[in-house]
This record gives sequence, structure tokens and C-alpha cells, in this order.
Amino acid sequence: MARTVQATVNGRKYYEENVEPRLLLVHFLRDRLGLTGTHVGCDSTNCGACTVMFNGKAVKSCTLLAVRADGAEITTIEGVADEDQLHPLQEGFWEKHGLQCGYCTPGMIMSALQLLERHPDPDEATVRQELEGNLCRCTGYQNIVEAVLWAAERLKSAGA
Amino acid sequence: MPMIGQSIKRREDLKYVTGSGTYVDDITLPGMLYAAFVRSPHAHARLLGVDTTKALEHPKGIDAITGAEAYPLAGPMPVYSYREAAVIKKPDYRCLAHDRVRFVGEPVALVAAADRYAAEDVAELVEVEYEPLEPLMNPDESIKPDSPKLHDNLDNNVGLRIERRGGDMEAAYREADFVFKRRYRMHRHTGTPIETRGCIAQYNTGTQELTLHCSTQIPHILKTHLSEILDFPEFKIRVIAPDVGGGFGNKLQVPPEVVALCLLAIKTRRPVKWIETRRESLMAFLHAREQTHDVEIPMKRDGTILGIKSHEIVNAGGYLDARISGPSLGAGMWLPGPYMVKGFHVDIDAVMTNKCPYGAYRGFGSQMGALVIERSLDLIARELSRDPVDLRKQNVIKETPYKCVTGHEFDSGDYMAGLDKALEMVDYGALRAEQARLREEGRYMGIGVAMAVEGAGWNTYTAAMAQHYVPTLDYATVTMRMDTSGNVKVLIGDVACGTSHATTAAQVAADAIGLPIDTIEVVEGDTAVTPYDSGTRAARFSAVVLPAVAESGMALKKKVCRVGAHLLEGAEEDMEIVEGQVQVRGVPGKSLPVSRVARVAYSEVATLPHEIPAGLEATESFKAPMSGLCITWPYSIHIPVVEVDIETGTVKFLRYAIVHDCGVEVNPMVVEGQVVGGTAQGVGGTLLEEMVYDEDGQLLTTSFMDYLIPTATDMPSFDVCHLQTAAPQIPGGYKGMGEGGCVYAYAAVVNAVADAIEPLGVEITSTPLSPSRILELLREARG
Amino acid sequence: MIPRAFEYFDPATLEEAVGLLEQHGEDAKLMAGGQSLLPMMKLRMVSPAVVVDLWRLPELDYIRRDDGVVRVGAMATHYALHSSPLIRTTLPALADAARVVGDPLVRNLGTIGGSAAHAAYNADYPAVLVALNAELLAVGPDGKRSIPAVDFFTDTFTTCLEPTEIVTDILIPVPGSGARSAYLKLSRRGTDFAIVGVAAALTEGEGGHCADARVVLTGVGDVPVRVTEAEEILQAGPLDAERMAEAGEAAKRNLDPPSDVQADAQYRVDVSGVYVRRAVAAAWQRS
Repeated sequence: MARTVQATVNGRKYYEENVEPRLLLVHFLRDRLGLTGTHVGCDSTNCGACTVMFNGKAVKSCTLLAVRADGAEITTIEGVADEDQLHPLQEGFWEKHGLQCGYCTPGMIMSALQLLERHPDPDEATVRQELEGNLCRCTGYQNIVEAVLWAAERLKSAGA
Repeated sequence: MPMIGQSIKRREDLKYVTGSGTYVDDITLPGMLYAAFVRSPHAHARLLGVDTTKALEHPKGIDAITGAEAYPLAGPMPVYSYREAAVIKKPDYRCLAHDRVRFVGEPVALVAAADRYAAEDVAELVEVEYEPLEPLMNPDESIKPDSPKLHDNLDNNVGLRIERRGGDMEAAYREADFVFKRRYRMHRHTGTPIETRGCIAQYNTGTQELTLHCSTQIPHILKTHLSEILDFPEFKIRVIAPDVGGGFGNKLQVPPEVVALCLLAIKTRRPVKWIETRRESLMAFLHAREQTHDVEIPMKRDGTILGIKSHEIVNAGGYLDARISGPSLGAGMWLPGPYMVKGFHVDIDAVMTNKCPYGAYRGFGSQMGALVIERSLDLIARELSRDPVDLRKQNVIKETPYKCVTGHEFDSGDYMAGLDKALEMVDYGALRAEQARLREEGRYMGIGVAMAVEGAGWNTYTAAMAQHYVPTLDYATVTMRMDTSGNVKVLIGDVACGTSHATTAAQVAADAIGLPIDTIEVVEGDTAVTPYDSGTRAARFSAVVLPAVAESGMALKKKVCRVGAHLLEGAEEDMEIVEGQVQVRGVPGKSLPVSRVARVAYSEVATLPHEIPAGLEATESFKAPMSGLCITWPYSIHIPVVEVDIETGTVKFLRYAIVHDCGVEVNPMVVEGQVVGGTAQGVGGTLLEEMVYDEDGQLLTTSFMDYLIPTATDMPSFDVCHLQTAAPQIPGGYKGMGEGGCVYAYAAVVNAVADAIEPLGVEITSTPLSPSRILELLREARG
Repeated sequence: MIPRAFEYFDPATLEEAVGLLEQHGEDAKLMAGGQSLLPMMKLRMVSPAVVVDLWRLPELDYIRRDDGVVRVGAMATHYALHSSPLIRTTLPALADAARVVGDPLVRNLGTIGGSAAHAAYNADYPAVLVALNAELLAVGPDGKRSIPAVDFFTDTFTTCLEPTEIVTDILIPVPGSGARSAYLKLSRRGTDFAIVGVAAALTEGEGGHCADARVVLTGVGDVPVRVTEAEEILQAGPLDAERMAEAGEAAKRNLDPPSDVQADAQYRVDVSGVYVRRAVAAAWQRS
């Protein structure tokens, strides 16, 4: 039985009818809402390219049924910047060359958002551990770690 | 301030960090169908029948195509010949299997359905009848003359034979005090870009054009091949590579799946999208690396390497990928490394088995060459009770240019200086002392050293395309088009797949023309608007494409100056462009903005003398020097330091030092990103990743749960030191560099692990170095 | 890859959920966090006709202490567990395990009840639950029952639950004074299933002795494997490094672990001894 899903995504209200129960959240976002910044890189909940914030937690949207999004608050990569003002993490990835092909980047940034919420002053080891759910094949992670540390620094000085 | 040499932030990144990149799966066309493949569950079987009736009875099952139907519509997949190929055979490799299936995952049929989800349901309803046959998994078996043949049209299972000789191998043996012999084996693994393959094919009945949006590194080459395979006019095919989520050489493939997709688009008259699942990708996208080498190295007791000889066996899989010659030759030709040897002799057999076809992956085989020589040096050093660094210093090429016995001319670089620098970075002497101290505590630290020269940019492509050998060289053509406001589009037939072209090409163009970089934008990937190009391969972008960007930029500048000279009433040769101003050299104040010149050149043409052409556009080519197989010769030295837990076999990195020299660096930040990223891939390939088949030919590693690509915690931090010896034959002095990290890391990491545990009586001659393999070795050593 | 189509229910009460299981029997599959079930459904290794999703049952998502028992709702996530001060201080081995299940993103959705009921032979919780003497409460058509963890896991991917039963709560006795525990896991990458995982629950006795030891392994059999011989050695004298090593050696005896792509049986045996020793040492060092 198809359902209706009403959700707030990136602060905007969405209303979608005929949501098949097997529809995965990632395809709901991409194919139904047109938010294609969230990517798919595997079938087995390993790569994290599909990471979004779901009711305040970073999750793999390929491993969540869209019907569970009814009433949910979701943030995708498209909603991370404040209007035209990039989030410090987006700036950090840019500044520190934390991406090459860009395919894993949205998921990486969404995970890093959670990381900095939970660990506002992380060390390198913490950053690496907290990004274990996101695979990058281009960078060797080094500059991703740099990017997150850069953003942490930026957020700290903004908060101070 | 010149742009070249600056680590400017990447110009392509804003879209990626905001989720606005456009990869192929982000594109939706009106009326689009979704395709899914039916794939063989058998490694080897006769195909008795394929029935799509039930699939098409599904309400969302729109259409389907089988191998039998495709056979007359699409010719065989291409196989390239290199000059070096003594024998190259052409198995009947079709887009869909039609008589037999020869590896698990081989496409058998293709269905089109109304939506993404239904496509998988519909594909499941296709009924296929197989008669299983005995699979051939081991190339040592299938190479035997009495082995059953995998392809009826071949006389045996050897698909490719290459024999290369150089120098005087007989003299090397004659002068030898002893001959070092080993068999080395490198395991099967591959690039696995996080974006899998994907394509949308669309046929327009009105224009009779076939348009593809395809995740590929080679839009132009793909177009040429599709034209041949489908017997379709090349000028009616347009290939658009949108943003590509990683390629690593894998996406040099001409995918059989894309050929089948074109047939289905033509048949359905609707756009059809195929996005490969990860499972499909691991089963049926190219695999790479798996080789064995039976090596002989004639040696003098004083440590002089006299020659190197190898019989190389490549496990080519069920069919020959177009580029089978490349990674086969890439390994064999790199055996002498950066060392002075007198004789060189390699025989290469690429052997058919029931595994996934074997193709290109970052480094193109050269990691195996490096592994063989670097591992051998360490083992020889042990035999001679010499320090491995000392033995390298004795044999390394001391001066460039140097003519290698392989025929390559290493044109520049100071390998000894690079090695010394790397040793200094890790404080080698102190590290050895530390190692001895730790060993007393029962801790096993290992220091790995590997150095190699890398051939970046291969002069092979167009010859390969000819399907029989013709002499050739690589080239690139670039168009610069200035608009009426004085901004420039740089049109390149290449594709960036994480490789920063939009930034580095703009840097080179800005300097060549004299414009601010903000007014320059790079356009790639669309065959309808870019000049013909052999694609993102062989680390050729800096070696071949950037010089073409410079040439084209200078040609455009000349045109701007010509118009400017008329407007400023000066001599053309006195004109210069500085920061977007056309001015008369040495006459301050006598200047015009380029935007004004552009407006005149396009819109006020009547005010110009008749002999000055309208518009501002230039196209120039750069032809690579005819210096043999490769175009530039970057080199690198890697020193990883590891600790092996001898109770669990796990390997921990203590540090990892890299010295590399890729000539003049256009953007050092980008260079370092490539070096580190490539090294990470090499480390993963050595320690974690393996395509494992069981004896029935079933692939056991069909997801990222089993095929282990490294996570952030598996990777160390890498320290990189940049040397810059300009490439003497390339304007600008650039050398290719995208593959290097991935080449040296194997040998370096294997040597580091070996250095840690070989004193315990083990010897490492094969990979991967999984913890269970390491413990097995230690167990064997204990007896 | 995409799951096959299924009928979907997300009941608002436990009674309703049990009713749906009764109605659909073997066709139905319970979904908790979905982090094991959905990947298997996407790979079409499992294709239930009916999915009963428990996400609307917030009463199953809690962690609290009642007298001498720590109670954890089946829908408590791995993240909630490893970040809970109560779990960290009272049941460190459980916090250890929760911190190494999957990856940080999976831990935000995956639940202890789901993982326990999934009962993978190489999952992290089963060994810990057995070592800590946990009981699992299940509700079914005939009401609630309590199942000791040691009886709960009957085979790989198999538990003693009836198809109509739902795990609702996990009860773990608060260890007495001198108790300390740890869970240590060896895997290829941080995010992977255990090649071997060892839960050690020890109680300090007089004079540096270990008065009680429960040591349970995951990844080496169809169900969690308790190594009683090793436990006896640990309790037989002052617990020093030598004794720990001896216990490790003893743990290797009689193991019959599986082989898979990541590690063969012999490797699992070898590292089991090492990890028993290390897990015991890690637990013992905790005060």
C-alpha cells in the first residue's frame, strides 16, 4: 500500500503521495524531490555517499525506508549552506582540497557535520574514526581530515 | 603574478561542496526508461536459451534485448594492438553473450522498464537456460596446450603474447656470479570508483542521432568505437561525459553494457538509463593487476645487477579488454626500474580464464614491474648481507638522460638526490637503530624503500586504434573561444574525473593569454563541442594537454593583440596583454580592456581592416615528442614505516614519506592531492583489497562488505616532498603525475612489511598481505 | 539495488505488532533499525512479503537502571548505548561493543534488539550479552517471557524466538563491586564484522585474584562461544600476564571456527587466543 509522506527537507515542506513502502529514502530525495546532491555508491550500507541528517542524526539514506520520513526533518547537502554563505565545512573542503571527483563529498560533509556537533574540538584520530562510515577513493582521506580540522577551528573561533 | 605554480583553490569545487554537481544519474530525460542487465550466475556455461516473455508480461516491462538479437546488430568489442604485440587474438567478445558465458556477471540480456525499481524486478523474470561447463580459473592450467579452449575461434587460451628483449642478456648471464630466481604473484583487484558505471542512451529518429550521457574517461574514443561497433555514422554520435565520480583508468573501458544500451535505445526510441549497481560493478567492471612473474636476475657478488628476465603471466579473464596490452606491457617494461642493467628479457602471456576481463587501472601494470625489482633488491640485499638502501645506491642510474635497456630514454631527474631526500625525511639511520631497539622488546617495525621511474603519457593510443600497428604519437588539440565580453572558454576533449582540469588548464590559459583567471572557464567532456582527444589516461593531461592549452592560449593572444594593435594604432609585435588589458609594451596608458577588443572583433567588424578576421577563436595542437613508448619520466621514492603485530598479522603505519618529481607543478596542492590519493589506493591494494573467486568461479567479493577499500582509519598521514626537474621536451616542463603514488606504494609497503618480519624466517613474494596471510607465513616459518 | 516489493505495517502498539506477526506468520519480518535487514533485502538475499516496522514504538527506546538491573529497550541504538554514561560506567563491555558495531552512521539507526535478533555469528553484542548474563524479554501472543542470553542464540542468524515473538527489553544485572569488563574486536577494517570478538567480564577477588570470569567469543562458532577452560585458568591463581596468556592458549582449544573471505579458520583460532588475553587484560586494567 503506497503511502503519503510529508517531510521538511532543508527547511522546506514537501508532500509526496504514492510512496511505495520499499522506496529508499535516497531515491525519495533524488528521484521524487529532485535533490540529487545525495549520491549512491554501493548496495550494502558501506560507502556513505548517501549520508543525510535525519531528525538530527547523520544516517545512510540508502538504508532507510522513505515511509519513515513522514513527519521527519531532513537536511541534505543542498541545505547545508546558509543561503549563499557556505558552511565552514564546505569552505574547509574547498580550502584544503578535501575532494577530487566530488562524488563522496556531500556524504562526507554530512557526516562531518555530525562529527563536529559531537566533537567540537576533535583531534585527527577522532576525525578519522567518525568518518569511518564514508568511503573516499580519491583523496586518501588526508585532506578530508585537514578540512574537518580547519572547519572545527573556524567554528570554534566563530563561537568564541 | 603568474598563475602557474600557485596552489589556488579549485575552480570546480563550489558545485561539489553544495551538491550541485551533475553526475550521470542526476540527469533525467523526458520519457526515460530504466535498464537492468540479466547476468550470468555461472563462470562458464553454454547458453541454451534466453526467454524474455515473462519479463515483458510485467506491466512495467517495456522492452528487452538478448544476445541473439544483438549479435547481428553490434560487432565485436575492440582489442588494441601495440607494436610490441607478437600475437594478439580477437576472441568473439560481444556486448551480450550469445553462445557461451565466460565469467560470473557477464551480461546475457538487457531489459528496459518504466522505472528504476521495476527494472530489477523485470530483469529477474528473464528466463535463461544454461548448461554449466568446467571453469578454468588458473592461468597456469589454462595456458597448457592440452587445456580446453575457452574460445572456439582461438587455437589456445593465450590471448596475447609479447616478447621484448633489450641490451645483452647473454652477457649478463655470462658475467654473473649467481642468478637470483623467484616467482612473484600479485593479486586481482581494481579501482572501484565510488561512482559506478552509468549511461543514458538516446536515439532521435528525426535527426538520426545517438546521444550518450556516459560516465567515461574517453568520450571521443568511445564515440569512435561505437561508430565502428554499431556501424553508425560517427558524426551522428554525441558522447557527453558529465561530472565523473572517479575513473582511475577503469573508465577507459569501452563497456559492452553501453553498446547493448545503445541498441535498446534505438529499439525503444526512448532514452534509456543504466546505472550499474555496486554488485554488478565488482563482478563485471574491469578487474586488474593479477599477474605472476617468474624472474631471473643475474648478479655479481659485489651487488651489481646485470640483467633481468621474466616470464609474465597475466590472468586476462574471459575476454580480452581493448587495453589488455597496456597493463601487460606496463608490468614487463618496468622491470629494470631506475637501475642500470645490461640485459632485459620479458615474455608476456595474457591467458584466458573464467574471470572478469582484465583492464586498465591507475599505473597500468607498472606497479608489478616495480614490485618485482624492488622486492628482489631487498631479498638480494639480505642474501648478500647488505643494507637495501646501499644496494640501491650502488645500482641506481646516476645521471640522466639515460637510455634504459627497455628502449626508454629517461630524460631528466636525479634519482640519487631523491633517494637521499627521502632517507633524510625519515632519518633512516636513526630509524634502523630504533628498529633494532624495538626488536629487543619483541616489536616488529619495518622500513620499506621503493623507487621507480614512471612513464607518464603513452605514445600508443592512436596506433592501438588502428587495430594494426602504425607508427604514432600522442597529441592534444585545444580550442580557445573568447566571447564578446572578453571571457574565454577553453574547450578540451578530455574529462576530469577528480583530476582538477578546470583549475590547472585555467591556470595555464591565464598565463598564456594574460587574462585574470576569473575570466577563463574550462569546458570538457562533450564531443559535440570539444576537439578530438584520446581522453583522461596515462597521466597525459599535464604532459600533453596542458602544452596544447598553452599553444592555443598564445594563438588566441596573438589574435587579440592584432585587433588591439589596430585599435591602439600600434605595431602588433609591440602588443602585450597584462591583467586583462591590451597595451603597447613600454607605453603606459596606451591600453584597452580585452573586453573592448572582443566587442570590436565580434560586433564592430566593419571598423577593422578587411584582412583581420572576425571573432576571436584559436585552435592549436601539441604533438608529443617521438621519444618512444612514453612521453615524460616522473619518478618517486616511497618510504613507509610500519609495525607488524606478529600475533595478529595486522599492519600499522608509523609514518609514510614520499619524494616525488613530476617536473614543473602547475598547482602543487593538486599535485599533492594526486600523489597522496594514488598512494592510498596502492596501500589499500596491497593490504586490503582482493577479488576472490572460489574454485567454481564464483566471485566471493561482490559488495564493499567483502571487497575492502580503505577507510579513514586504515590510512596513515603521508609526508610529501616535491622536487621539480623540468621535462626537457615538454613546453612548460610539465610531467604527467596522476598514477605515480599508486605505482610505488605496492613495492614500498610490501618491502616494509617484509622488513619487519623477514628476520623471523619468512619470505614475501605474493600479495595481498592480509593479516591471515601474514600469520600463515609466520606459522610456516616456525615449521 | 532495490528490495523486492513487500507489504508494510508500522504498528503503533506492541499488541498490534504481535497481532500482525500472528496474522502473517513466516511471511513477516520485523524491522528495527533496518541496518542489517535492509542491506540483505536490497541484495535480494532476503525478501519478506511483509515488513512489520517497529519505529513507531518509542517505549522500546530507553536505557535506565532499576534497582540491581540495567534495562535497555530493544530499539535503543548503538550510539545511544555507547554514549550513555550509565552503560559506560556500569557495563563497559556493552559500551565497547556498541562503539564498534558498523560505523557511526549505522550506529545512529541500528539497535541492540535488532542486532541481537538478527544473531549473526560474527556480531558484537551476542558475546557481550552472554558474558554479562543478560536476559532478553520477548513478547508474543501468550504474553511476555524472559530468555537468558545463553539460550537465546541457537544458530547463526537463528534465535529461540517464535516467529510471533518480539524482543522488547534487555535486562543486565548490575555487576557487583570489583567487577570489570571489556569487549575487544579484531576486524579487517574498523567498520567490518568481527573476525573474532571477545567479551570478558571479570570480578576481582582477594589478593589480585580473579574471583569470577566469564569470557565469551564471537565470530568463531554459530553461536557465542564461552571458553570455560580459560575462565577456570583465570580464576585459579593471581591474575598476572602469564596467567592471561595461559588462558588465551586454553581458549584456542576445541574451537571450530568458520573460514570466510577475510580469514580462514586457523587464523581465527590463532587470534582467538591473542584476543582472549588482550580482552582480559583490557578488562582487568579497568578499575
